[in-house]
Amino acid sequence: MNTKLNSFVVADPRKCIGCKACELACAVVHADSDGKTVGTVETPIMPRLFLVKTAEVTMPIQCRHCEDAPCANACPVDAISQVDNKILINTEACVGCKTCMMACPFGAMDLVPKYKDGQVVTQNGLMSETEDGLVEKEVMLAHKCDLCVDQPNGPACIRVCPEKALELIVPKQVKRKRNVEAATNFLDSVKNFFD
Amino acid sequence: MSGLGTAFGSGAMTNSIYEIDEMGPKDAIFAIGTNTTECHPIIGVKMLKAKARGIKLVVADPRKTDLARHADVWLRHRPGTDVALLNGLSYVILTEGLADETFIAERTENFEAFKEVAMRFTPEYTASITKVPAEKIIEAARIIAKADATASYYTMGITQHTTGVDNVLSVANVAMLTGNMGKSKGGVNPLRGQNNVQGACDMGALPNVYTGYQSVTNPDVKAKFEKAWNAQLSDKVGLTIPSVLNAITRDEVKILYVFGENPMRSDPDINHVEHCLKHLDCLIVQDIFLTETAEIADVVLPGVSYAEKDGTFSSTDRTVQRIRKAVEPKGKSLPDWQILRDIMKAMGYPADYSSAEDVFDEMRFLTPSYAGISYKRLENGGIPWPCPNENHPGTPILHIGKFSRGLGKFAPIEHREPAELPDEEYPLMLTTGRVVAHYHTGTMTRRSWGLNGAHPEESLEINPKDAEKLNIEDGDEISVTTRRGSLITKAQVTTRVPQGLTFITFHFTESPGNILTNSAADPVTQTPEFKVCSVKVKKLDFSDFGCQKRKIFRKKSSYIK
Repeated sequence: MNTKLNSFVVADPRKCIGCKACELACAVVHADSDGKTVGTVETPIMPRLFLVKTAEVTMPIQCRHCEDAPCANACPVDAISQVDNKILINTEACVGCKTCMMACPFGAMDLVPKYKDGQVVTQNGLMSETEDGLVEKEVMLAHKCDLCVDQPNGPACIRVCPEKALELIVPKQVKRKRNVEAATNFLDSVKNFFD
Repeated sequence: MSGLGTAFGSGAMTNSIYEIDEMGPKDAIFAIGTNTTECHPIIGVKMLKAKARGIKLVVADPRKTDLARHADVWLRHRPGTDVALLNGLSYVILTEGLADETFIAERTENFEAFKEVAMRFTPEYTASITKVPAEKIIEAARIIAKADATASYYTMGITQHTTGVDNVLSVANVAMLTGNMGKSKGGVNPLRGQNNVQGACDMGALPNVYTGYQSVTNPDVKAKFEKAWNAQLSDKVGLTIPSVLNAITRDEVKILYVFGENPMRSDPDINHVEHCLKHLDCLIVQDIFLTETAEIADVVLPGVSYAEKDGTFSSTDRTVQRIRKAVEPKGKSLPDWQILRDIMKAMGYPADYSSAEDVFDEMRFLTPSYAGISYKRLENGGIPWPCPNENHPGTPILHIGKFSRGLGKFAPIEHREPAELPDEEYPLMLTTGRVVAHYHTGTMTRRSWGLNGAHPEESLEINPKDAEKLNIEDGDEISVTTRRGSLITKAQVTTRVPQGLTFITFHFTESPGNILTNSAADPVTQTPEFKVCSVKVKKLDFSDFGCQKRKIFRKKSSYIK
């Protein structure tokens, strides 16, 4: 392998119990808050991974940090790029056109309001009709898993999952481990049938 | 509690929670009417871990809950057919020679009467009533009977029916039939809801008992308490909540003192509840938040949360544990015992408790099952009652050797249909329950950023086939109506519910599930039939008044600060 493949977080659907601790942890670490506890967060809960709970399966779905990221390739303002083996969104450039949302086959992309210092940031020109009359519309930005790039301890969701259902897949390491295991197993069995 | 009291002599969970951690490949869990991973998540997770260690799991639930998805056998029975299902399991156990004959002979009575009824519930007959395929009934029965130890777990899924007591007696029948009583990793285990509802019951909150389930009609008990309290006491059984409401309408009850309860959202048929509460001369509510019931009260007394008071909590497996004050109460709010003491004084009774421990000590010297538990002993950890003296270690497993009443009593139970079934006008069935993020009427959980954020609004689970007939898609706004009331919510189209059944919670005040439910109740316990009623569902049309209603609904549904 020449290039290093991007890591990504994925859940084991056999272990997930649908408790949403991962969604909460994600929302908390990405919230613009100084407080030490969840109760101090004032902004709405906006996770970057999304629990799916149907009759057949329960597990969260999040960004795969695709090598040929459809979201990055589709973005008309070049807001998405690969930075240090992660697919990241430059929110300053994002216009909220939702092309990335349409492109992502996993539904990992969402658009959420921008918050700063606990207050929603509104647009200068665009007004919205609401039951309280005309108000400035909030700025909406593309939003997806960023592998907790700003967190010192890595992905928060993995750490809080009570069932240890979430795992950080580092493709090169997984591949290496399986190659070694396969070779070692073959060595053991070959002793039985090769002369 | 009533069912187990009749069968075993004691109404509480017979075994302890930690035993699940000791279960292995030779053991089994039978979970009926409990959405354990959602409503008792810690116990639910223990069950899943036990499953990973190799136990067999049999789950009986009309909905495809997460626990059902993990089951070895999932019995998807029609709501209200628990007795038939349990009799059906008993039939297989009896006819395949899997019953524990020694246990039945030595430790039980009334077996023949029960056997006569159970023998009519062949797999085919049972299948016709429950809609569970005969092979699954047989497979489940074999697992339950053949395991070294099978623990049965149940909750409101079987008790909140007009046949609630019958359902519990039938679970007890199966447990005795298979000899799974009075031993580790077995037992019949009702899981209680609130962290201290067991404690509240133990303290005599029910209208027919004093502390420790000592009967109010027993003259020796009455004399004992009259002497201890230096007061005249009634020897009559009091009123249950449904009877209280009816008595209010007849002007027999004038004043109601409610604490730590929100009947305006947790009782069935809340239009009727509101009518009754507003009819009172005086409604007093003691709570830590201004609940929907407190809002219509004449007097509100502010209580304190768990962190602001000393006392004990008794968990579902009878383990009494200390709680300790960590922060000072806000404003003028006081611990419940102080408020009650001050009211007693104001009414002329010399109540002179100076601490929660004073109250506890007075109680335990009047209560044999708690007599050996003291605050000092509780410093070393929880103690499960009965604990008759201070040298007794507590009783993790009940009914070892003999039942509380001596012999376990079998009960012959016939199948009865629920009170209100679907008909032409209300063609679907509605059942109710909870989601993991919220607790009951949401008094606490809807004030929590994380919990309310995880599940901010109500939705009605409806099967795709039913939704299609009504032209409803996932996420559509719908009106849900029963004979008692109506609400507006969103549709969640899913196969978690079978065709013909819908599901809603009671957590959201702006779309309160109990405005729909039926107050028809079990004749013995008066527990309402929250789990079955008939309903009609309609997609909302926004070209008219429906649109205005939806705007109001949206505004109210925002998170309570």
